[in-house]
Amino acid sequence: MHDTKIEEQLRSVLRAEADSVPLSLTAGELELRLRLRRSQRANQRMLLGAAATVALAVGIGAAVLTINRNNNQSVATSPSPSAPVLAPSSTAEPTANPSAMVFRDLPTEEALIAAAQEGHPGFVVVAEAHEDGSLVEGSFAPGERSIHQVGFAPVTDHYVIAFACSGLGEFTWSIGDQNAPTRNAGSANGPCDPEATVSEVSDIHMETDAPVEVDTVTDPHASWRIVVLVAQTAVPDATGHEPSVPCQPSGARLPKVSLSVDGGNSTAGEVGTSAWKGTADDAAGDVIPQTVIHAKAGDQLQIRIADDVCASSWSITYGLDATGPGEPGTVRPVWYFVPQQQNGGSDLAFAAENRFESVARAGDWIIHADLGFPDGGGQYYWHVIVEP
Amino acid sequence: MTVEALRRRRPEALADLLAMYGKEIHGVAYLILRDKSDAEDVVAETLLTAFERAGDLRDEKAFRTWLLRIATNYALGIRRGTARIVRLHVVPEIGGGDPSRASTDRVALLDGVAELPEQMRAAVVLRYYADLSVEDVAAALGKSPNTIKAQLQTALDRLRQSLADTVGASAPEARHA
Repeated sequence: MHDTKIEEQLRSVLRAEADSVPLSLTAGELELRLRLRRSQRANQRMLLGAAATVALAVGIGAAVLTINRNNNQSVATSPSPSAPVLAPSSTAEPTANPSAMVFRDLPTEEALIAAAQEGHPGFVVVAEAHEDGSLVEGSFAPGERSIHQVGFAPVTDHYVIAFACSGLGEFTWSIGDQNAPTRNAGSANGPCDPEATVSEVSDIHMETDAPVEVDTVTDPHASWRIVVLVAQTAVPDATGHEPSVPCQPSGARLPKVSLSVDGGNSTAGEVGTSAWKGTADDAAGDVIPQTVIHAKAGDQLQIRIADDVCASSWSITYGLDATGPGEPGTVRPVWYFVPQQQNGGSDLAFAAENRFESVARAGDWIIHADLGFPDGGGQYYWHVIVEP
Repeated sequence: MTVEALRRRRPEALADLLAMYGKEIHGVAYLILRDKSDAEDVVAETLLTAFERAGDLRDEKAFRTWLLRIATNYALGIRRGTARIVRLHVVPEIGGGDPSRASTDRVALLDGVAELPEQMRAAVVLRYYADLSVEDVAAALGKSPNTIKAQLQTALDRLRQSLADTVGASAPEARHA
């Protein structure tokens, strides 16, 4: 029942309607907004309190000390990093003249990635940024802070960060929203050091899309480079999947899906947006179930599709209730319950499953299963509190 | 403009982004929100986010889809944030006399789109205005491709019905599917 005529009609009408409303936004307005954004972010960070002030003072002090420091000086970090592992490509000794220190070569991006991947095979780069002293925006007085958002880190429990900095002053890198403790994954700070410093943070609880920021208190011509790598725990499985139990045919209605703890009583998932055999229900947002399921860390959680019907694709996550006052439900994913499975053709011969198991992690979770079937798909939700 | 230029945050990248993608993002946002001012906000926030987060993008070929996903999320966020339910009934843009058949159909379709649930409307806009594939629409909306396929089919059924209701027996071709 592919109705090309109405599809073409719809395309034409939508384009005409969109074209009838001109866009008046200009590049100048956009740049103004960007400056405002950065200014607000910088002010927000500056207001965070004494820590920033102390960092500034330490940074200026470190800048002075850096003039005569030994190149082998290590960087103090928290959580604790490994020792510097990579020498810069230039080994010229710094001098008291800042301009002479500006252009000390930093490790290349490839060298930083190689340093970070050592001992972490399979980790992938999610953020890479560098700032050449000659490209620093604006005019900063020596010792002034400069905050750069270099990317966003996806949900994971394991990051490896490699950073190098050339010039006078102090740097800090951080991952996470400083205003939201649950999103603060880690940070490190110390005097600018052109030798790569590799830090590792793991076992963190962070929501998705946490910013990675580099915060420098430096000579305006300092240069730095950072790479952020994460474990590939959330990469979709492209190799297909055999079902735990042979698949049974689906029925006339969207399959029910239930969750059980250690093989005990099962609780049916509450259904959000769904579509099945030509009909669809559109929820305003995510569903935050009122019924709470209790479990203990280490318990086996099982999600099971009724009647052994098989899903052909799935994305199941532990998430946090991030619903704002008066707003429709919003769940922010934190961990994958099982590896995500994509299946563009909805082909059960390629990927099929009717049972999904995960060891419970402590937390107050909204478990969200987005299941695709050859006949449709549905969003299912459970509220599970897992005690440590 | 290349993604690499964006990652390097060259000053001209913002203007280039606006020139290349502003109109399309504006169209997507406007068709979802039906508010010109909000749609311009979505364009600005989308392009600034892209400017600042280009490092996130792993597959440069997916840049346009990535932009449209950001824009759609902003647009749906605006709707959620203001908790508005605005159903615009489009008035034919012709002066006097009976509206033409084409104009009547246009009004019926736009009315029908405006009355779709917001996620379904977003799916329709991304599929039929932005010409994204079903898989890209699914990725943009965080749903499975099957969910999107079913939503689009349902949306087309409803729009077909809107056309039929409007033109009555004069639109037999709108019912054949």
